[in-house]
Amino acid sequence: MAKKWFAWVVVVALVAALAIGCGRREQPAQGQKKIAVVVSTLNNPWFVVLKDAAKARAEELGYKADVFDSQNSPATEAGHFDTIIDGKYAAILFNPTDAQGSIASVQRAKDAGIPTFCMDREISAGDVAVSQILSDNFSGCVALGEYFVRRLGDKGAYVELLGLLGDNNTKNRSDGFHSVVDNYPGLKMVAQQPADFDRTKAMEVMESLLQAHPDINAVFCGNDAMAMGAHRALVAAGKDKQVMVFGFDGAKDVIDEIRSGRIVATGMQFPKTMAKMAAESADQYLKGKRDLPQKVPVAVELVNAENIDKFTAYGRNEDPGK
Amino acid sequence: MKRKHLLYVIGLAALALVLGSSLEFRRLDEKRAEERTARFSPAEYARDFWDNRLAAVLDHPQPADELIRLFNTDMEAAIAQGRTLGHSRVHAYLLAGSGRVTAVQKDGLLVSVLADDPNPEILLCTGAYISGNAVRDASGLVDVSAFSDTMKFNRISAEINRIVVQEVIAPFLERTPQVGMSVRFLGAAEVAEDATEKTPFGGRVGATHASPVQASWHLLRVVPIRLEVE
Repeated sequence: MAKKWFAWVVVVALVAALAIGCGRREQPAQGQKKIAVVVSTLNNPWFVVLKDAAKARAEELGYKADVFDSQNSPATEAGHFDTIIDGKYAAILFNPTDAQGSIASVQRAKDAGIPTFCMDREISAGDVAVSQILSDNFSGCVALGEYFVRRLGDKGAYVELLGLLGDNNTKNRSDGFHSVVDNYPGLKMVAQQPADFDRTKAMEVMESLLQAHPDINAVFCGNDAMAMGAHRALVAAGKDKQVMVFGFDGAKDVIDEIRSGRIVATGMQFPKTMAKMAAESADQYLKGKRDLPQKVPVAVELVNAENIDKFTAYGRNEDPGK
Repeated sequence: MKRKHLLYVIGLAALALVLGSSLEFRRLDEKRAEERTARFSPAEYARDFWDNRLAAVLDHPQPADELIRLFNTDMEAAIAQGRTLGHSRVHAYLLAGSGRVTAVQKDGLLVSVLADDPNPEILLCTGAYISGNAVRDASGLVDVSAFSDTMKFNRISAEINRIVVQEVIAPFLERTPQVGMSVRFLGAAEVAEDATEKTPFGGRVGATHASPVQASWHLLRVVPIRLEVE
């Protein structure tokens, strides 16, 4: 009996220690307001840059900033919002997992008096978040589509790797690209498959697509992680010289690959700019400013061998903050 | 009798409470606006934009020759005259002018608008399709914040561009444009800051000793809203 009691005590103590350990965040200084930085995933370096920039700017502005990783799970994200509401955070810098599914969490925060500022990805609602600083994915992919046509000519076969299907960015990027490329009947899309913005999954998808369509001329990927995965699969199949790879993001490895001529182009998003603008909007709102725009598109710029010298990973050379 | 009245009053109050909590009173125009957003049709939006709203901002386009001169001499001043969507290095302009066709290409007409220079400065888009947001953004009439998601906002440009192709370009092409012809246009253009920093509009780009035939003109790409032979 005593043994059983002892085992129970140990289990309870372990669970309590885990709960306290996981939930422990550095306490803010007296009177210092807290800002939550909620990011869809930290498995992709692009989102790590977004998170770091948001946290750094919030701290520069005098807030205590805590980071929450949603691991691409709307359920995990909803749990973070519970913690944030209970923790009486002053504002949320938010990179949602799902344009529709994340609305309820933002609404709960709003009902609790906590303003939310979206970064990069949007929620499909116009009056729930205070402001949404968003990549102009559609226009960025129009530019990529035009360059794609320039490079391929008006004839060829290609495949498209899509990101997460619930994310508006996936749709906007694909729509922007097709708004140009579909005007050329000689350019045939022989397959279109999701690879969830994930490098490993993109590699696997590309491997199987190459077996079904060995003679493609190009692959358009909805982000750079997938472009790297696709490139890896092409190298393994000995087809990297034959197939042109187009990405989207402006991640470090793809910028390096464009510089060495192995990847053709990407769309440069500006995660540092968006994160900085979101943190500054939150600060202005908390200081009383109310006329913030609901949506602020941030332009995406085409990066290719012709202008690569102007760019670095996640931004432009002349201004690392942009 | 008094008790019966009291019961009626309590009953009515309870009924009012139940009805009151299950009904919502809102302004009719708000409700209609919400319904319009919910059943959003980009084609209908673009049609209304083109037929009923665009004309109001077409009265004072920038003279094309002046804008090109400004870009070629003072880029910052030219940028300041454009409209910018959100945070961007791309700026949109409404412009009008006339000029001489110097070449007829698949994607448009090369047009020279500067009287003192025979080289083309403008690509007047007359191809089978048009991409981009020049008309939407140069008009300043479409506010991204008014849309619950940016997909709706983006589809508007595609529909406006379709109207341009069908209702401006197609009738114009029936006149069979030729080199030497004079055209008058009112249109929209998007200019990326990077595009203008090295070569002026009307200047040669891409010419090298190794491949002189690859050279092309640096052109301001104009999407026509009104287009006619002079």
